Amino acid sequence: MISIILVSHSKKITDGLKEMIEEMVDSTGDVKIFSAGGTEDGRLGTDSVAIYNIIKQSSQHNNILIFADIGSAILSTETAIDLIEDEELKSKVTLVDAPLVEGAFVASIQAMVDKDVEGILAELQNI
Amino acid sequence: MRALMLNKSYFIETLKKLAAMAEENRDHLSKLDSDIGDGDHGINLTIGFREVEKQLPQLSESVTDIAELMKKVGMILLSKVGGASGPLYGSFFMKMATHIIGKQEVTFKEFCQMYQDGVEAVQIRGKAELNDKTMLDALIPGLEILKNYQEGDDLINTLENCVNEMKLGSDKTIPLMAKKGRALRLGERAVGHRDPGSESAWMIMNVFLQQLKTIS
Repeated sequence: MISIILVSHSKKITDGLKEMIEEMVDSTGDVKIFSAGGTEDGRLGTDSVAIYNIIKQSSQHNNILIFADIGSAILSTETAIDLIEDEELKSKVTLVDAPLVEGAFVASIQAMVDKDVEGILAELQNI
Repeated sequence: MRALMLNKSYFIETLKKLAAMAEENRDHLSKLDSDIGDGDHGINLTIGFREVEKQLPQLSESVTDIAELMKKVGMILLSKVGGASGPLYGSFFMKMATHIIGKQEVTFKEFCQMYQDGVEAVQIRGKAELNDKTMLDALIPGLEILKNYQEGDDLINTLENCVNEMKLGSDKTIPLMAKKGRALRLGERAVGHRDPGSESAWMIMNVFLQQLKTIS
């Protein structure tokens, strides 16, 4: 199982991207997509604690890949990763240096055919 | 004479006043941010500290030491603020707790260490340096003052110097081009505008100063 977490200031962006990817990837299978855009109260922004909670929810998954777009989406994701105290869980998490839309899309497709995270990350180099 | 100790109620009162400060300066900080950023700095800080204030009565009962109080406040800012100042100020408050675990009160020297740990966290998180036109342009000059504090020095003077240096540091952001954040994209258009984070940084430490004046 692999978790893909989408982070942006805009919930509309991450909700839309999740919808788009799920239409092409069977979300009941090995790939689980999480939308983590916007703030809890519906503003534009990011929430480190919400991202951290999704990571914790995914602790049973083999790998957790996070895709963030710009500015504090990256800052908040890095902070969320720092909040993880369980080293084993932390080692499963990768903040991927790739464009949010293309990166999350390629990773999700690749995860259906490649169980190995190294293979997925290698494919992301080709974007 | 026993040295002045900063206890839990000093920090709780300061946090309450931080919420009031954020409300008062909301439009001013957002205006600075709308010049070169996305215009939400004042609103974001207000939302963050409003939540801190809301949870303070319960927190003041439940926390076992000052470290836990600062960590919890940092977590609230992380989850509520939204913009880049959320992870930055969130980390600032959380890491203030690093060297004071278990303490019910801290000396001024320990308070200086708290500030240092907070500033270092912002540096690590934001990966910025002096003169990048960020809150660090205020935080770092303040740190130079507090690092040089020695027992016996006047506390109010020391913290006053710290806040003054922070203000000067904030003034110095005005002619700079930005190396971080959205203002980076603006290039020379950011010149002539104060960095909003540097302004809120000295204002925050000024609240610590004003509260210190009330107890010494």
